Amino acid sequence: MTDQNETHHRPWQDEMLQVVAEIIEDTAFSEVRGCALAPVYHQEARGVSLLIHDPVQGEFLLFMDQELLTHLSTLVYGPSFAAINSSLEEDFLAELLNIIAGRFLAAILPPEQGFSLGIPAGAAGPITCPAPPCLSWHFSVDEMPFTLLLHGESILTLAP
Amino acid sequence: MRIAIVDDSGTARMFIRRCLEIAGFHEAEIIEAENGREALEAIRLHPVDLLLTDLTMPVMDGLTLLKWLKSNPRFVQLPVLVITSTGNPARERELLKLGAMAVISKPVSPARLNEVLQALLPPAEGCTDQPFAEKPSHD
Repeated sequence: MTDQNETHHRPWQDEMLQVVAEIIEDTAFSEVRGCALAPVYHQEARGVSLLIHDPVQGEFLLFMDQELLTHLSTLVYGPSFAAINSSLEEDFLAELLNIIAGRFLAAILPPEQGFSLGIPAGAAGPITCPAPPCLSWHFSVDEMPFTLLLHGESILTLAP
Repeated sequence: MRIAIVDDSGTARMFIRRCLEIAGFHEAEIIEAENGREALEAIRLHPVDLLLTDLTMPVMDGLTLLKWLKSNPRFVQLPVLVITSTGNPARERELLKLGAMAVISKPVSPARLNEVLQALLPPAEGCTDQPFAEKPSHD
């Protein structure tokens, strides 16, 4: 993980933590903690991206190690679910980011402001910000880290 | 009772299915579709009593599906519940105006789903009076 392209202050830290904590608690019944430092991820980290189309433009990315993805998928689907595989984990990761993005935008945009998102897509390659300016938030579940990135000049003009 | 769940995410469909079961619809026959077009093809062949749909989906999104259903005499009375991650008060009003029965934000919970369905479905089609847990016990 690199911070080379990131801004070092993190606007919306409280909003994002609240959104992420509520969603992980409601879906995987697990507690989320905020991390001040960028975690070091293994090479096999899994990622997903989601475009913001309207009323501002940007992109969310969510990354976590395979270990955490398997852990959360098992919690959500249940240990007896026989068919947890890479495809299903990818689907879970996409749905997780979809919900996080929606709840986060609802939290930071005016109450009457509608918004639209794209379709989540797998994100390959190193866990770096695709293009500055970029914000990052780091969290952990059961001491396993995950990271959310948000980039795009349009969306970041709204940052406090 | 037959219920259609329309969402491009298998995880979301599983979650909604589980919520329905916990909320008392364990005897309902569930039909799953990955997008609006697939849902239309399924319910044309096998009509359903309730349809739950996401909004953002490839091929045919939930808004198009809702408009199509509410403009077709055969399906105009079909209760449609929108379950979305992009909800807000303005969007909710728009969807209700278009004929949605209710709008629920993701992630849906059994309690919220039960609350909405109890209020909006006829008693015979609603859930039983059996209690359900908001969250599973870890004991």
